Amino acid sequence: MDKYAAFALPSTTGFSSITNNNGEFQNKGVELELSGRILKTEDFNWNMSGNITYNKNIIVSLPDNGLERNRQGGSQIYTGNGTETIFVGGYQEGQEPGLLVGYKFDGIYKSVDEIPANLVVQTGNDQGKYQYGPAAYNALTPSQKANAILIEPGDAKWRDINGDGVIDNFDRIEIGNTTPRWTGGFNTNFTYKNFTLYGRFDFGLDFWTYDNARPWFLGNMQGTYNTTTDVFNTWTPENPNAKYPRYVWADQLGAGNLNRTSTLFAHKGDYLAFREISLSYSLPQTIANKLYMQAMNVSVTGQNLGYLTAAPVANPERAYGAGVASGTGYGLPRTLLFGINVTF
Amino acid sequence: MKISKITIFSSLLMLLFAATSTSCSDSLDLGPIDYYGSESYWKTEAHAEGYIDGIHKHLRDAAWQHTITFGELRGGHYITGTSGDGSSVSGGSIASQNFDANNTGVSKFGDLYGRITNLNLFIARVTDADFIGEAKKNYFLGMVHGLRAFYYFDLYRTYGGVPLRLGIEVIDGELDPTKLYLPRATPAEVMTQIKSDLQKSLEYFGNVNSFNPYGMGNKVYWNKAATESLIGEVYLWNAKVTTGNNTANPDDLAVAKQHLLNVVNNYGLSLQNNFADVFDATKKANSEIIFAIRFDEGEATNAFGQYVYNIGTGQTSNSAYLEDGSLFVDPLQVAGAGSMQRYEYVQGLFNKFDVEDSRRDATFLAAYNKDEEGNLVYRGTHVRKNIGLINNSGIRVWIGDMVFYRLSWVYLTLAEIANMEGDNAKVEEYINIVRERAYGDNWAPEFEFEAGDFTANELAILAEKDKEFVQEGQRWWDIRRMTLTKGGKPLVFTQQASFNGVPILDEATEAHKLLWPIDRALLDNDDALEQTPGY
Repeated sequence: MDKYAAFALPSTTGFSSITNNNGEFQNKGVELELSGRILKTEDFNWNMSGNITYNKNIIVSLPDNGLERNRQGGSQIYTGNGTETIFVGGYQEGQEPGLLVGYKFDGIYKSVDEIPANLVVQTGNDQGKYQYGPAAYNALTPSQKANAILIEPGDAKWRDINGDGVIDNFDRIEIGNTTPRWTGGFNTNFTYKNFTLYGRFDFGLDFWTYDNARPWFLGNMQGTYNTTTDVFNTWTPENPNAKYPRYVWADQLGAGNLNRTSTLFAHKGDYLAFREISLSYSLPQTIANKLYMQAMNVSVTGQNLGYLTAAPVANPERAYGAGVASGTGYGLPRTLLFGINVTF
Repeated sequence: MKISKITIFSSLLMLLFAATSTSCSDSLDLGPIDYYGSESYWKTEAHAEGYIDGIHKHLRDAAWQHTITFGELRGGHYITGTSGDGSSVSGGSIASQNFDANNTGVSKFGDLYGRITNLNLFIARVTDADFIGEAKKNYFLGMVHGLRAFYYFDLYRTYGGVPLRLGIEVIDGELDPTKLYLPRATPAEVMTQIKSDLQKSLEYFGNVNSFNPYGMGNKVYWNKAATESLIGEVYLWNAKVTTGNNTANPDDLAVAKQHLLNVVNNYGLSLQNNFADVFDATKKANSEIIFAIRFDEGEATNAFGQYVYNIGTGQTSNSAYLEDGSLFVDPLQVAGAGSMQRYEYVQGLFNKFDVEDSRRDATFLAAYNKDEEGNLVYRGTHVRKNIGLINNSGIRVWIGDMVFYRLSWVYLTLAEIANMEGDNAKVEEYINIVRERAYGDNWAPEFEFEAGDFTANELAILAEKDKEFVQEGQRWWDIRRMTLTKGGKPLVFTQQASFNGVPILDEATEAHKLLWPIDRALLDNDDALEQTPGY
């Protein structure tokens, strides 16, 4: 099918993009739906139905723009084979869109000896300052030191993909895809005498999401906001096995431990959503008739009750590209409804 | 189901009508009435006037980038780190000269190509148009060519060789990216284009010296004096600065001088008696202004609130002191005005001013701490030069005009030309005109400038510009253009032009940083573009 989207133009034309038929796109998948009555006795009744879908998106063709695979967007990273680089992500012919790319967090430097002496990290600091290992830092002149950051115990260890002792923009890996491969839902209807319990659930599996809000607060990047309770789980000499790198006010002006897209804040987004649970009771026929009604039914329903998910984000349903301080959205509001259904 | 006779009859009638009525396409082929598409615009004089308004609105949107980002941040006189008010400052990576392939300062050539394309469209549609009177058409074309030279001059000074986009390929329907890729032209080609546009602008303006011949706005639309000022700026730059394959051409000095003298003599301009009046928001478009960007209540506000303390989260207001020892509180009346200090100048700049110089207190408001003995210790400065006014509701609104060209700039540029010519008398004359106005009633022979050798004069002109043009986008261009000796090392590589004794750029390792790099996204998406040399 045709893909209708904003097609990027070279920006020196004065235009950034134009909306047109932007190539061909294919989703392939399998969908399975089942429903059935599980239990039926005089007092009990239990129905269930569900469906599950497997879907994978592939870009079949893109307008010819002279780039390899007619690539639009994307990131350039090392393959691990010397200085060879490839473009991943963005829209590329024959590839799946929605790839999350980031630095690989390999733990924390727990002591000065663990830090490679001549390490140079060229990214992560919003003022363009490079971060240096101890020997490299000492080799700088005083005015250069004012424009540089020293890597200290407690700072994050980033995987050097091409092994050249320098961490730059190309030292990133493909983390995973942000679009669920498996989606589906099921509902169950359980009846006992005059009570009915109805539940509706849906799920999304096999995708990655990114926790954008946490690094911004944990790193005090705005300046005057409070930080999160994760600050108690940051590295200090007394707490060397903590999960997060050492706490710094304005991390984006320091070593950028949090100020970059990395596996530290990428999580599998698999979720099960409790979409609706409803308990209702229908008045026995005899009582209803006495009240001059044919039937009466009272119910209480809860909607968007929450998620069963490993990702510590407010809303795993939203697909997030990465980036600091773009937020993880707000959870859907929980609703509680009370209902009375009267038939005359 | 019975079909009544009436039903059959009416359906037959309808078929008859359909068959005999003329083709619908005439009634359906309509243009929109409530908005303009590219086919329905460019039909009347009002369209051209509205477009000129739009072009200047875009210039206003780009004014901050032109003045502060490109013209000032790299001048070595901005602090990086935390402001005196406690907030972290912006533009740190630019002010620290941290440029590499990942840190490019701005992206997509500062978004200037959209604005250039708008100018190209005007030129394409109006040059041969007949829906607008000849006189007005020529005046507008003078504006548009002048503005195109203005944008390309910014691109030239910032990036060296840039793609020369002079057409409107996308609007004409070309959507194939392989045909739209445009490589960077050489610096010499860009300079040739700038000069050509300036020449055209002059020709189109003809004899119309007025700042406001059609009542659109006084001194806030590009005018002939602005073109002549820009010619002075461009030719002086080209006489002193070599970029890539474009070597400095000293013959251009005479052209610059000629046009700047025209500005002094032909347009009825005069210096304001009081320096503070130049930026007074109640005295806009005064006698000294050549071209300014208009801000107004209900229209647009500028961002100069970012040089001023904040009431609320800022720390200056309740813990600092004024020069007279009293508590700071809120001397500029910015409560509720949304200021937030994101830019601050270094202390060295404030210290350059003599106390008798009226520019000191017209430009800066200093904040002090008190030490144990109660002596005042410098804390930080806030810029009060262009802070708008208090409106009818008692709130400060940031509506001061951003001035691009004014008469005192012309004088100091003429001083620089005179220094290149070795004319000490003229150097003194021009510098002292500006100084005499600045010192006002405090003017005394001790403040008069006495010319020396080339180096002394050049540094004196820089010092005078530093004090006169705070927040007006001059310093980075000044230290790139001015040299320590005639034809020698640009001041950006010297410690004389620096505020901390260390040259702003190290000539041995950072010479390539005279130009800015272009961002990776631009390079990845346009096959024909190449990175600035050295990055």
